[in-house]
Amino acid sequence: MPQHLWIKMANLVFELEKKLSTSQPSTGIVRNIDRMKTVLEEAGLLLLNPLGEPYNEARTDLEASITGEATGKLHVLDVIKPIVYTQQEGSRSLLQKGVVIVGNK
Amino acid sequence: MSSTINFAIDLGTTNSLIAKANNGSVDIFKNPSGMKVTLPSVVAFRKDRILIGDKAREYVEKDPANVFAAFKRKMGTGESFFIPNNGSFKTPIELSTIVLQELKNFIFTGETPASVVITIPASFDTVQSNATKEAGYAAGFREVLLLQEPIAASLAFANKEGKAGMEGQWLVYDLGGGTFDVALVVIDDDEMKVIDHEGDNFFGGVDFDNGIITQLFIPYLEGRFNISDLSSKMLSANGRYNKLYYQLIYKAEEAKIGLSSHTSVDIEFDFTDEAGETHEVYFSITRDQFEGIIRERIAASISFIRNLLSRNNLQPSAISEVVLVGGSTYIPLVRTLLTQELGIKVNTSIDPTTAVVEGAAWYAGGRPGKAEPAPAAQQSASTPSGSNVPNATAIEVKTAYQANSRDLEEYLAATIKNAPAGSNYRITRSDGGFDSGLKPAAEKISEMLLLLPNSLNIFSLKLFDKQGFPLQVSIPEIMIVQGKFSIYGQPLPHDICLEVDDTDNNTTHLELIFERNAILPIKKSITKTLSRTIVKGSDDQLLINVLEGSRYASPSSNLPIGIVSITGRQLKTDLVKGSDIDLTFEISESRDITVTAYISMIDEEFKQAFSPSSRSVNITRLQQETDYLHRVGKRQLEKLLKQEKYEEGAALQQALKELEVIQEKLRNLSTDDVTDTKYQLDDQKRRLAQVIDSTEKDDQLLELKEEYYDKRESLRYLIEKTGDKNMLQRYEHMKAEENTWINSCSTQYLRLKISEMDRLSWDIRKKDISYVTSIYMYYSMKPDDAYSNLSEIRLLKKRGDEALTRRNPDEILSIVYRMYDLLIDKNQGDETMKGTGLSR
Repeated sequence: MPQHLWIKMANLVFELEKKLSTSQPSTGIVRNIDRMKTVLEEAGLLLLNPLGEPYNEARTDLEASITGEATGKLHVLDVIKPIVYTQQEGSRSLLQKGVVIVGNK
Repeated sequence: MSSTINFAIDLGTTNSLIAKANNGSVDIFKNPSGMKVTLPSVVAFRKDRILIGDKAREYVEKDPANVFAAFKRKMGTGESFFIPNNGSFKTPIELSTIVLQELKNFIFTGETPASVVITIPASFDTVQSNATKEAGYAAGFREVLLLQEPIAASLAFANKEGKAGMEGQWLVYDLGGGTFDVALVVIDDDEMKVIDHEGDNFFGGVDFDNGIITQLFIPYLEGRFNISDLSSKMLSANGRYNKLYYQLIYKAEEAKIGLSSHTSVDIEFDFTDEAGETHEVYFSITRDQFEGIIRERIAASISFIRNLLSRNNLQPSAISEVVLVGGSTYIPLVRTLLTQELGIKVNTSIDPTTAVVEGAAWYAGGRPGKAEPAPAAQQSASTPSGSNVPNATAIEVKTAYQANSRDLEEYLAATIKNAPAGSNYRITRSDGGFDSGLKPAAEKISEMLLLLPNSLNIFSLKLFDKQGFPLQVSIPEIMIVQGKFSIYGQPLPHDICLEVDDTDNNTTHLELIFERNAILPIKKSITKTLSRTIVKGSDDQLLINVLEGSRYASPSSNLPIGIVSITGRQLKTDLVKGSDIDLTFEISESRDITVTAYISMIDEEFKQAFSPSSRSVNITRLQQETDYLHRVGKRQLEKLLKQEKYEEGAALQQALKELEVIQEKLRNLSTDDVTDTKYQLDDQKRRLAQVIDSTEKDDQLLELKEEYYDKRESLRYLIEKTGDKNMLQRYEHMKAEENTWINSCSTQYLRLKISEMDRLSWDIRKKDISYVTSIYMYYSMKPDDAYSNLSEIRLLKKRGDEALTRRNPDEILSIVYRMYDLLIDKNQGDETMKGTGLSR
């Protein structure tokens, strides 16, 4: 399967997980999501959710929209797309920047 | 040295790109951070660093005084921009130089081009053109050729269609993210020229995104959730819905892109109303709605064209075609209105986002370069103001950092001696996830490096002189391991494998879970399929057998380190063959192994932890293995005796006798025996397995290797015949791996590899209609009474004969599979192995 389709699939898995995080999904659903993530890993993709992480301008793994006054320490307030790295034969490279909204907590 | 220029840069108002002509093709370089081809033409002067591109753009609204975008519009003016953060001034030329230098970092081939073609708008006058050249020289190019953007785009289209050039006169319609230009281009005396142009510097795709927000999202949300003046609440930095604004910008762009290929799209987002309640909003947008929003703006762009044509006394019929450039020309309404309103053919054969740089590279590929590339170390000296640079080899850099870290960021300190005044440094992570930006190089510097969890993070520190040229200093890579390596962590001494059934060969083999030298702690989940049905209440068991040893060896000669058995007595319902089982394996830093099995069919979880001090031996499994080894050994002994190899035979005979003793002892051992007898028997069994393995191995290995090589050769032939690149890649990968196992593998492993070759061959053959037809004919020729269901087989044969006329391999195969299911005698072996119950 072409890589861009794998990335699309990774984004959908991420969205699904995000939606379920607001409720109490059954263990079966959580397991299925974990399985999907395992398949993505097997396809060489590493998915990261930066929600809540500190943000600074050196983070080229994120494409940020800065909300509010943006003074003081910034954190990732919302993640629209996850960070995706590709991992092959020991080397890793950024495939998709995380699309995030950052601001003061 | 290349004799042609080859390198080209589209120095755009919004985005810039770099490409290279390469023997008849064009490669567009990608940003090593994020792998996009475009670099936003934005430079930000933050407090202690300079950011370029995407990171700089993030601060356009938040820190407008120190962030500079669209400075291309000011090229050739005497204007300078004041930077409050460092109290200095920068000209548009200097800002363009920074962007050009950043684009040079996209060239991953290590080349440092001396000559380049840079594109300029058709509207640029001589002063603006010279300003662009100056920026090119300041960025280190020794020869800069300029090319008008519409000409560059036209060259890309001309090359694509294999024409020497375009015909007659045509329009280049360039609608980007924030600017619109249209140019009238003609070939006059064999020369491609821009005759006239029109443009709007404040019209582009961003306006369409905003239209979706203001005309669709906001009225909908205000109506549904009874909110007033949502627009102001979104746009104010301290407004309650400021975060929503950024979410909606993203969603609007997503909708716009989706509507280029679909007639309607569904957008979803979360919305928190004024009472604090969060709602999931599902919003459908049709292409008609979107077109209603943008129609007026697109029509306005067509008025520009009408003006352009009437000014040049031309009728639309005099124009041969309109070539489309810029990402916003993907919008179908743009294409439709241009055709409808002007009746001119629209040419969309080139990716509109890269057309300009692509055409410029074609041009560069045909222009001889006159400048000799300067050695990198001398490049800065070649610039007008860089003559006092000291010898870069005298620069000394020493770094200090913690090579192993448990934190998500690690402190780096460095000393830099003898760096020229005004130098900068930059630290980047090799995977593209971290970039310090350009920072002033002081004698002592420090930086917090962001680490990616549980992995090796490699950073490089580079120095640049005040003009932005790299200084030639040898600085070792900074390597920091996050998480995994700790004083408690250790590498695995052997592979950790799972035993799974190989029903084709009536044996079991090992499947790798964790590779030797993997660092603890480690966790992995896999999904397997049950290879046989386990009946509720029976003594039959499903075995999850975890072994330590070489993945290439046979399961019985490896050390069992953990086994989970699920017997029929533990089950509330039958476990049906083919159902999935999720297995999770975890090994802690102190080598505790936890195996969790979840069977979704019955929604039950089985979990067991094994400590390294207590070995797990399952008596039933040990019995099965011993019986299997005895069978194999006996068969092998008969063979050896027939071949009169009495010496080897004697050793095998002795091993078989010892096995029989073990079998006898096992028969008398209860399944819950608490003594260490089972461990002793397991050790003995493993030793005997190695004896039997080796005699069997020597004999069979040669035969199997021959079979493997034969199959590999016929697979290569098949792949070459089909020309399937993906298959070729898989084949090459398998072949490259071969050296790691071919001389040390077990017969089981070799059989497994042969099966892999068979599967690959099947993947190819199943698409070959004549091959599929021959299989169908084989089953179809069998008498009806060879199958278990007479009426169904008759129907299948009828359907199959019809399917043959349609020549669809998939359809024919679906019938063949069912025929095979119904076949009574499938020629199965009489000795069926019990195995683990897990198939590969």
